[in-house]
Amino acid sequence: MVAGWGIAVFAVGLLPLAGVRSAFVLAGLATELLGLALLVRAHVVLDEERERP
Amino acid sequence: MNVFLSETSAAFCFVLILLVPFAGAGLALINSGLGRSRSAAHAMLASLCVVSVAAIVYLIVGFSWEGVAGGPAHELTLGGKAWNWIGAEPLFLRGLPLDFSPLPLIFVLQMFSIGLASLIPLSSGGDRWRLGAMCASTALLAGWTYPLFAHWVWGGGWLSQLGANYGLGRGFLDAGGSSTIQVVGGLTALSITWILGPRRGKFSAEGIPVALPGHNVVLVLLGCALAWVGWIGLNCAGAILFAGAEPARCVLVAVNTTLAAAASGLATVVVTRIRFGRPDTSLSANGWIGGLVASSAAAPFLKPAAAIIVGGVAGILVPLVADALEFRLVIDDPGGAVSVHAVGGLWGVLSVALLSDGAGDTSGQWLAQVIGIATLLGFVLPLTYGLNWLLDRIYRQRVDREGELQGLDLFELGGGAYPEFEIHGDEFLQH
Repeated sequence: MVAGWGIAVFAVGLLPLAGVRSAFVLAGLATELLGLALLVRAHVVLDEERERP
Repeated sequence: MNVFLSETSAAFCFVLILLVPFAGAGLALINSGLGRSRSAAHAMLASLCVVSVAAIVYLIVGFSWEGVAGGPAHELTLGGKAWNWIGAEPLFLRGLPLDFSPLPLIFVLQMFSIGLASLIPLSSGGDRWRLGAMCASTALLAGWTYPLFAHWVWGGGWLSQLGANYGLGRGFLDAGGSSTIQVVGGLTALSITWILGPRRGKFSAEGIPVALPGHNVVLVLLGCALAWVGWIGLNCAGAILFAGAEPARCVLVAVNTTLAAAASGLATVVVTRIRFGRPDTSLSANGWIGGLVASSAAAPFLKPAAAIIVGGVAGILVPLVADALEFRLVIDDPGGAVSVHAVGGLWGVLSVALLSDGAGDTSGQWLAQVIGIATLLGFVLPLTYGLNWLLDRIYRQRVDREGELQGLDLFELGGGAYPEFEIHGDEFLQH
């Protein structure tokens, strides 16, 4: 998730072309969503283990 | 954005700011009502405690790091442009005249706003979060997470300068705190639900959720009414101090805030009626709050018809996301903080680019709002999760098994909210 944010921020700071910049920002956001999905999955598994006697 | 106010405008703004604690009182009542009767007094005392901790920590360091637009700040250079990343005002408000000038007004509004943000996670940690841990977690929120992000949005930080530095519309826009207050609070609530884990008995061994209904829905609805008043003050004061709106624009802001809440509440009534056969009171109350949350970012920039759309979408999102969190993602969020504040707030942030009237260059504004959302998900969530995870390693946040079974009122406070009534155990659970 932090890497996705880095992609988005550096795209704004370093890429001058509007189209390329937008594409990299969206790629960064997609990376974050992937990270969020993994985090959710990890917690579902963790909670299942907690519930087990 | 530097704000100049006449004495009359400043006095008007101060009165609006004084309405904001009603929003906090509303959230406190909602949190207590949606929790169980055996933890009701604990929920209300916890609300007072976290608001107190937030105010003191914000005075000591929070305001210094948040700063104000045009004030002293630390900057980094990236790609030849200065990135303003943290404020550098004096600690303990040293040298700040407490009068009707904009700076102290911003401080007072922020002190109340951070209190509001700190109440949001209480809702998700209900019935299992220790009082001491709530206070420690709030200190981290008020001292670090909130001021840092609020500086980027309201204190002249890099998100607010995306327009001036990179031509992205007017930079990231959020007049009343959909992102800074609501999403930051909502993401902290999500972190807390993960760190604490679900309430005992909430999920069966197969992962099927069990209904644990709130103990007093009248408190919840009273909380909604109080929150409405508070939100009007918050959105109007935010429009004046953070969006540079004329005080006369507060009429539009109040109309939009009300319309968004109304549309959202009604949309949730309809959604729950279709889904469950009858309107669900708790979810509908959450829908009302979701509309208020979503209205905050764009209230000064919307036409009234657009405010109805903002609220309507929020009212559909809130119950559907609450359902998905519980049934698919096994997240136990008793008060619905994640769906109401995080998801409602994110929608509010997007609505600025999608529906606002005269926000400037539309494609650039879109990108600025998306970068704000990327910052919330990619920076604020890992930060608040990491801080609370570290806190949990040092000072365990979840109450003991015995405390959870007994109820937090008796276990942590030694007395209940309703001593004359029999407190029920788990026999009423709807399987």
